[in-house]
Amino acid sequence: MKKFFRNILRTIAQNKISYIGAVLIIAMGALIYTGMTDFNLIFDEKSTEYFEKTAFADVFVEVASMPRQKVGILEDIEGVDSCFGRLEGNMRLLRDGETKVITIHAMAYSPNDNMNKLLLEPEPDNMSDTDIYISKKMCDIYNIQNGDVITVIANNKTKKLTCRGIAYSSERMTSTADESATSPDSSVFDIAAMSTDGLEKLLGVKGEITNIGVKLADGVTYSDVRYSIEQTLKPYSVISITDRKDQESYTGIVEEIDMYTLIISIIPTIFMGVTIFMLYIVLKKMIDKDRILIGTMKAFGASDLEILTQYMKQAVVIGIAGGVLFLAPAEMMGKFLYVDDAIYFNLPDQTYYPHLSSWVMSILISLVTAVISVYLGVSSVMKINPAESMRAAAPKGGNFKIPPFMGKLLNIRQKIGLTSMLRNKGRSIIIAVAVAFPFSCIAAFGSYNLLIDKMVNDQFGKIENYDIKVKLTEFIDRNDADAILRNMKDVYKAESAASYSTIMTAANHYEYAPLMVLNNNSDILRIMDRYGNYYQPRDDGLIMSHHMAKKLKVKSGDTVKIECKDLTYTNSPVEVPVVQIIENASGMYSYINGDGINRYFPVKDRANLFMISADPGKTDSIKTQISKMRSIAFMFTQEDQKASYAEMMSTVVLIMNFLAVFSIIAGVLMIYNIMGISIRERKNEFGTLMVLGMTKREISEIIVFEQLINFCIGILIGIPCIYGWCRVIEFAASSDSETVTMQIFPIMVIAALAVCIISALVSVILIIRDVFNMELTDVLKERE
Amino acid sequence: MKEILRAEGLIKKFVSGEIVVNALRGVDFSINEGEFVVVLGPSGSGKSTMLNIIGGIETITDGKLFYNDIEVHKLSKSGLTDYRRKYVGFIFQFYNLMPNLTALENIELAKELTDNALDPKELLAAVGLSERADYFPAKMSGGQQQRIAIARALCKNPDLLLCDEPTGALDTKTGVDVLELLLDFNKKYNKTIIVVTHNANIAYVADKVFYFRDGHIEKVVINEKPLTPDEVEW
Repeated sequence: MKKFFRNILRTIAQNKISYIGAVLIIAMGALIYTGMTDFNLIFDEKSTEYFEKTAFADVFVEVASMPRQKVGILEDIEGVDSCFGRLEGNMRLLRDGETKVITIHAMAYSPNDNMNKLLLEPEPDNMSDTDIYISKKMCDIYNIQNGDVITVIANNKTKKLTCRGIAYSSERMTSTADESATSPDSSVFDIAAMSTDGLEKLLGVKGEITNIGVKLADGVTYSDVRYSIEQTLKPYSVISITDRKDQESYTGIVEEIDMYTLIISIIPTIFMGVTIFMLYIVLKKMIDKDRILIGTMKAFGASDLEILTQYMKQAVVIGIAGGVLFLAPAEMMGKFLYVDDAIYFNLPDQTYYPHLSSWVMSILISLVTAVISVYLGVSSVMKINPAESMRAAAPKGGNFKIPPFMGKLLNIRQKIGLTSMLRNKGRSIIIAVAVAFPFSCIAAFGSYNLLIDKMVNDQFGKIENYDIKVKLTEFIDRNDADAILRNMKDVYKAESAASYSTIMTAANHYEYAPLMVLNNNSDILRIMDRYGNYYQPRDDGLIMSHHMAKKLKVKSGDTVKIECKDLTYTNSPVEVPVVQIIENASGMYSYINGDGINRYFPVKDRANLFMISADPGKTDSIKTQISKMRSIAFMFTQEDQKASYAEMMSTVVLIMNFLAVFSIIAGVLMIYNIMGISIRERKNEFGTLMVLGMTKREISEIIVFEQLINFCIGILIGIPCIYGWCRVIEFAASSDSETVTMQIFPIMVIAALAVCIISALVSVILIIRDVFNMELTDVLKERE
Repeated sequence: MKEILRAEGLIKKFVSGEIVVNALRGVDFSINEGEFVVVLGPSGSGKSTMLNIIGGIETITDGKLFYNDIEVHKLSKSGLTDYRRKYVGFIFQFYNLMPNLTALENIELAKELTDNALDPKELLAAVGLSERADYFPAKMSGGQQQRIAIARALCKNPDLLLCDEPTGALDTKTGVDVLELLLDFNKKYNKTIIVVTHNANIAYVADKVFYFRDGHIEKVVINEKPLTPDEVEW
């Protein structure tokens, strides 16, 4: 059978473009699989390693203040293995000429910390009271170098500190300033580490801690100890108690990994599925050309297995070549994605390395894909007996006749094209699918990026429609807040509001839930669902995000218990009805108005937020006025928030961009390959037409007409496929706090159409050129 | 009789890398209107190449070929297409029917290419396959396919019908049937037919016979009294 295999090799050489196309198609699938798998694996490994290295706690408690030596009382609780207390506090960083309010969340560091350890670079031999280690992102943004002296304000005192390096905290990998911030923004808020003594001096406290980490004994769950911890720490004003799974950093990482795992399991699978289909088509078409040869070999007595084996060698070559070809670009893609995400999550170790397992898997998948494709291709030919295989196959589409009314509209070339198409439905559908796949992918993946822009614009144009948001260090009377705003210069419009960190409980479910107190008829900070409907905050109960409602398992009409020291003065919960649940795009907020606060809570309505729209060109003036105030915790400009939101979405956007680019490349390959093969297999047909005297123009008309209809069918099939991709993206990109509602932007549909039209046009031109370049005498010698 | 086709020193070389094959080494001939010409010769002698050149599907390396007043050797690609469309009909050994068109549609295809076409249904009846009108080529026997190919070629009503081994893939009985069809067309419409074949017996029915060897015409025999296919011992 060596000669038979040699014949196969020569066939490959003669049809190298088709085979190269097949290898490239499979390589594209492998590239996406390997790149994304490696990215996810390393992200998972590095974050797990980070949590382990820093002895990440099981339970996180924040209290107003507590003597350090009292922390040990938690270890008396049954089920608590060990605990650890740390002093944390905010300070304001002053920079010359900087109008932003920059907050540093300082965390006390000791080399003896046994839980939630901070990682410092370089590791200090000893730390003086004025040494500070600052997050990498903030250092980069403000170009703070080792040895630089910075000025901070803490406890109403200005102090000089010396930057000694970079600080990493696994507790605060994506640190948002507070519940009112949409996304992390290191230009206004990030972490730093100082010696315990240094921080105590700075904050004006001694022997106090604010944050506690608890390690649970084996087999003990958070719900087993939560009540006991809460009761034990009650004298120290518990601000929050969080389970590991709900801890901000941990949730962020887990949601990220879950999302990528989902994307990786869905999208490459679909890509590989389409690859199998396309490869099967390409190879089957090529093998169909060997129909007579296979028949002859069988007639000579070759067994099915012997013939199959020879073709399988071809499958192995294609599969391995496809699996290996794009390993390097796959690793580049994986590295690109990982570094982007590692920067976002402040992972200390950003070194990337490939995984042999994903390489092996990728090659195996490619191999299996090629083997399945070749097997399907060969087996259909093998089923027929040798005599049958030596005859051309009759069209399976039946004897379709063009209806008379249509016949009058079409000329003979168009009739030939249409008849050929309809009598070879399989071939037509394959071309249509080759068009539908890239068309739908480009439209959907491309639209995702525009959707992110739209979501940002919705969030900061329709929901939060101000230039500057200010968070105060403490609540103030609403009238005082409004008076401050009235006295500010260059203000076009301003409002005060309030945000509270609360614990909401419904039946057995409780969650840390931000509560926003908004103004009726506001056009600065509004409630909007993902369908663009606006809602007024109510005084008779809460309007709740469906993300939170889902977590608390509440529905409209239910009641939730709200615990919040700032609202109740004590930790006694207050019952408030949920009057409406809205399907919002992102966030887990609940909303009420000032009258609602007065109605349900013992405190009067107060404010800790300013939302300010500046007169045109006066934003800096407002920022300057605010930066001079002493009671400002955070200040966010809309531009900063937009930028940080964009950064937060950057990795997913990158993935979608990669997929859109791959779709374009795969589309060009598929359209050219499938169209090319379907035309080239009919060389004899076109050769005969040329001999009969058909002009190039007439033959081109047949090809173009046929491909045009196939193309249009492909676009029609592509439309529901876009819908399908949208659901896949929504499923993959949505999380507990984020609901992505895919929207297809006409511009992307036009772009997708343009890419497909150009691909099809180029393909048809190349194919027609190929047809006209054929040697008529050679072609006509071939038997159909 | 009017001369319809004249060749002067036809040379055809096929070049493949360093290998040059001299398919035609200076061929001269003259064929008159309405003649039934048979071209005989061993494989590789150049007879099919000559037929392809006459049919305008192969270019000439050197020499001249005239079809009436048309200088075929000077025609461009589009000129050759026009020449084939207006004057030439082709019948191949392996039929080359459109696989996706039925028998009748294959014949009708030719009708669409010319203004003075013959009636496809009459031709289908003439080749005895009216009842196979809706059959696809793959569902017909070799002889039936060849008869459809002949009907298709005749449908164009060409002045010059070129047949490359038209009976080569057929049994004797079917081969004779096909030959009768060709002769009938030749006599009835006074059309010129050139048949390339290995079958020396066909020479008996021809008006003129070209014997090819090593790329040139070795001998031309003119039959003063050609036989009918029935009279030939096959």
